[in-house]
Formats: sequence, structure tokens, C-alpha cells
Amino acid sequence: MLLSGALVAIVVMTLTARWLGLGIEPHIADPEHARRLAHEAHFGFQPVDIAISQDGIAALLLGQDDRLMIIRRHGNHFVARLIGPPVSCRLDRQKLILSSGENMFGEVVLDLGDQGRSWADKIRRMEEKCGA
Amino acid sequence: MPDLPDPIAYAVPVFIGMVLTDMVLARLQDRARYNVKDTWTSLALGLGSLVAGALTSGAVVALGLWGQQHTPFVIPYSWWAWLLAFLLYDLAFYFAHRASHRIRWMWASHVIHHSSQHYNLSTALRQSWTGLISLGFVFFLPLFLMGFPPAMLVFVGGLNTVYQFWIHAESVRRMPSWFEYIMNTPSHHRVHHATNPRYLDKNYAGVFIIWDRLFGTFANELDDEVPRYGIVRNLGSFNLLWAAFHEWIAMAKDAWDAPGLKNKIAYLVAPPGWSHDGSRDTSEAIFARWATRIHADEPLRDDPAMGQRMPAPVRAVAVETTAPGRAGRQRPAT
Repeated sequence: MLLSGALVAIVVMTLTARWLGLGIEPHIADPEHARRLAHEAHFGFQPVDIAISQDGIAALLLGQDDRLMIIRRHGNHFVARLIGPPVSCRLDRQKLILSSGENMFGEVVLDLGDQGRSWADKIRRMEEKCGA
Repeated sequence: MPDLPDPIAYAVPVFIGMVLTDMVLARLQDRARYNVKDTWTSLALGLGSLVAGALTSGAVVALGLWGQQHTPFVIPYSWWAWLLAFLLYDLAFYFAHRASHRIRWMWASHVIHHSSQHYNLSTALRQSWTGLISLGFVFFLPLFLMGFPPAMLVFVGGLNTVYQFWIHAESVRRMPSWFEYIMNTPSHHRVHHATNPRYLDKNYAGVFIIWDRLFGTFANELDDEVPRYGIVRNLGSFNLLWAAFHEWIAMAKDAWDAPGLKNKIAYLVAPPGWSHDGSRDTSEAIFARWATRIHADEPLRDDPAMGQRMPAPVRAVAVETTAPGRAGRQRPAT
């Protein structure tokens, strides 16, 4: 009885949140925004190169220390991961698809337009450097 | 044993009403305060916690009754006993909560409550499923051994839980200064849920913030540093089971893979973020990196109140402690 009552209550509260239109869909506005998100996720990470997906929901940052950080939208916020080496990445036309290495975090898809190829090459060179 | 009411059962309708009101306020003030999926996850985790609590609370109460039968002390149902029980229960909560952030075994259970990147009244209901396994109840056993009636402790524990609901409101900015000085408030608890290096591992209080002031873990919420909520490594998933068990799984993997028995045990009991090869960050490491970067020109000094080396000006900003013998009384810089 208590359990079913609680279940009804949480469904009502969730539907109310939906009915009220709560929540936003944030976008990464510019490189400075991406830099700030990276800084907040990992204090001390200093990006030297930043690519923002054209849809504004993800970014890829190359750190001063040759580390890569991916940032993607999660609900009203963003989440970030330092990845690799090795970095699992593939290019599907202009979309760069990066794996975080975590099943529950999933892949991050970045629509980088013309920059997609150059970033894929950049990551490949970094991998070769690490492997060398 | 008197038949005392369950304060939480009476409070639940009020909780629901407050959540709904908070949602309407969010609609008017800031829609980003809630996210539908996050709200569902928090509430469903709360429901899971209710089930887990129903299954395990009997064991804890039985242990308490056993403790009471084996103590020579008897505390009567008198007004002073009620007050003392409420105060001491809150002190026990402070230490249990502090341990829940400093011992990975306990953090694995408590992390659920911090796993949302939001801070609202639905976050308050995002509670642990594995409280019994993480052994937090051990901190409350001395109260039973002191001779407090178990029913009294269960009742004041319920009041303690009810109080802690409203402090998860982001819509409440500051209470009157006298109240902020003595009681735990939304402002103090926002600091506790924040991942900003300055705020990490601060404000463990349940009802009375005086424990943090006394034991050197207090930090003020600063107007120019807005708290960012969640955990150092946010999940990036709304999956219920992942939220409930991710840290248990990660801890088991770490212990399994670690070289040597000492390292395996350390992965279970050391602070979250500890690693045998130093490849990860504890909250102290994050704080130290932050303090060093912010005050790069100033040498780090031993700070007994913080239990770590840090530049003095940072401490003056970050910490206000009234603990006697802890390098004086510090006030936040204005």
C-alpha cells in the first residue's frame, strides 16, 4: 500500500515537472565556454586546441599535456572525461565519433564539419607518438 | 516501549507538496533547476531506498535493542533526555556522514545522494540503497549503549531526517545570520553538494552546523563562487542501477586489480579518489592543486584545521572555524 502510494506520488511529481516544461537544452556557446567547462570538470586542465560540435552539444579539447578531453551534454548540464591513450575514434563523413572507454558514458559524436578530418589526423598522430 | 509516531510518515505529504511548490517556483524563476529525467531518477532512487530501508531497518533496530539490553545505563523518557537524544543523534550523524565521504566503503553507498548535477528538493529524496552494508549505523550504536530508549532514538532520527529535507532547496538563499550560525541551512548544504575545489568535503552537518564549525569542516557559501553540484566524476547517465551501484562496482574492480593485499584493502577503506599509483585525485589533491594555482606565488603552509598544506589566504576565504586551539578564529574574507 505504502509502496504503491509512493510510486503514484513519484509519477505525479515527474509528470508535473514535464507538464511545467522544466529543464533546458544547453549549448556550448564558444571556445571560452568549452574552456570553462573543462576547467570546472578537471581543475588544471589547460586546453591548447578546442573543437565544438556544430550542434553545440559536445566539444573536444586537446590539453597542454597532450591529453584529450571530451565534453557532452547531459540533461541541463555537461559531463566531461579525459580519454586515452589509447583513444578509440572513427570518422563518419564529417562526424568524429569518440569512445570514452566507459559503457555507461557511451560515445561522443562531434559534428566538426571541415575540421573533422584534421582532428582525426591529429588524434592518429598522437596515438602514433604514444605507441612509438 | 511507548508507541511513538513515525515523523517521516507524517512528513511525506508535506514533502510532496513542497516538491510541487518548488517546481512551480522553478518554472517562474529558473527552469534549469529541474530536469525531468533527473527528477525521475532521484525519485525512483528514493523509492528504492524506501524498499531497502523497509527490508533492513529491522536489523538495525534489533541491534540497538541488543545493545540496550547489554548496557547498565537506563535513560528515562524525560524532557532533558529528549533534548540530549536529539543533540547526540545529530552529533553521531555528523561523524557518520563525514565517514561516508572519507571511507570509500561508505562513500560507495552515500554517493547516490550526490550523483545528481542538480540541487533541488527531489535531490533530497535520492537516497542510498545499501546503507546497511556500508555500516553507517555503527556510529549510532553508542547512543543505544548509553541507555537511550530505542524508540526515542528512532523518533529523533526521524525528526533529523525530516529537517534535512528542506535544506535541499536552491530557491532559499540565506536565512537570518543567527540561524545560519547555529543551524544547517540550504546555503550551508549547497556547499556540501558542490564540487568546486574550495567546497569539497565541507559542511557534513545534519541539523546543527555547529559541528562543522567545531571540528574544522565548515565553509561558507561565497556569493562570487556559485556551487556546481554533483560528484567529481559525474556519471553522465540517468540509469537507476548504475547510479545505485557504480561505485561498488568500481571499488570491487579496483580492489581486484590492485597489486598486494595492502593496496586491495586501501581501495576499500581509503578516501575516494585514492589510488595505489597516485594516478587519481582525492579531494585533498584537487584542493591542493586549486590552492596552488590560485595562489601560485604564496608558499603552502601546514594547516592543522584543514589537515593539509595550503596557502593561508585561501583558508581565510574558505573556512570559518570556531574550534579553540585551531589557529584562531577565521572569518571569511569579504
